[in-house]
Amino acid sequence: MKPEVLSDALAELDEELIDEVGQLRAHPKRQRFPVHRVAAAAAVLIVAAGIGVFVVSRLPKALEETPMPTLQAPTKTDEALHETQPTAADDLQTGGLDGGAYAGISVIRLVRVERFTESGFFGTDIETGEQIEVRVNAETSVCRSDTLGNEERISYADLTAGMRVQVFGRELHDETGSMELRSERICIVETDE
Amino acid sequence: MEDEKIVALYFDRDEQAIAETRDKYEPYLSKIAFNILNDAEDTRESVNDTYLAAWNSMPPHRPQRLSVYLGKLTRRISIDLFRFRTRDKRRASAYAVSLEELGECVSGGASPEGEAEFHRLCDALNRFVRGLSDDARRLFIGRYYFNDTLRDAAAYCGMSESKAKSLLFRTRVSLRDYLTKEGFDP
Repeated sequence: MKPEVLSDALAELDEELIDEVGQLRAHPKRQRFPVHRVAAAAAVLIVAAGIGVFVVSRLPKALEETPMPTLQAPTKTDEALHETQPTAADDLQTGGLDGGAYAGISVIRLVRVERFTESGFFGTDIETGEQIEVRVNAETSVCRSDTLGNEERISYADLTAGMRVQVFGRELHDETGSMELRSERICIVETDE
Repeated sequence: MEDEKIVALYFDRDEQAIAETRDKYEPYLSKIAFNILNDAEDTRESVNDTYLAAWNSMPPHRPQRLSVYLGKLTRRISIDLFRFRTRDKRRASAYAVSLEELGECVSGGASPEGEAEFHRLCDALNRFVRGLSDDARRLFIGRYYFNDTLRDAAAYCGMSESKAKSLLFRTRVSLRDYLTKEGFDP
């Protein structure tokens, strides 16, 4: 059968069927509002917004709960290589540096002041017995701390031989093996009475 | 003017009947003709031939629905003209496209022979169309009887073009199966 025959046969459709569409052509149906599509889109949006809000609200908490990376004890090789380099482990071992205000300062040494030089002073590390040269500069702050941890800002000139001081600074070794401590902060913890 | 009065003018052999018909139905008939012919001049010729055919057929014929009757006349005249014009060269029109689509329902083999067989085909087609859902029926008639474009048919049926396309495809597949079941060689 040819499509033309089918088309001709369509001309013999019942008049009421043709008239129905003829009326529709003259007065088109308004396109139905796609309620189900709008509802589905709204549901997807609501779920997406809910997930977004949940994630955003959890984010700060999740960041807080993120565990700190575990610090591995340095190997001997590492120690040899980075003997003079401060590590985060150092900071942790010393209990942190004044609440983090001196973050990045590598060491704290408890030093007995012995004699003064033009650039600072010499002292002895009370724990290791090492001779240490402490260099100071204009940026170095000096304070006095009582047993309760209260601190009082004082002048570098108030420092005298025999005092026990905490020195916050960065250790430097020169080629002779002697060590100096470039200090950012000196805190008198006890005078040698 | 109401259809009954226009028909009465035809029966009174009053030439005002044609003027009234033109006033009321020219855009409707022109659309049907243009969908088939896709040519303004041929469309005008086809519509004028429709008025003449209506004048010659009324009386004795008294149509129940004047619009449908005139539309059928225009459709038949336009299709005849289309076939005459396209004997040598295919003409692009909505009708040509709808024929291509209807070609999916038939094999292009032997056509029903004789008037009786053709009437049996018409009856089968009527039953098939009546069995369709409202949307499918309106769309099918709009696309293949009025030869409206897919976009136009979808618009006045109140559905999206993509939905109309898939609905028409499913209807054509069903028609092919139906004709086979009815003993036709589609």
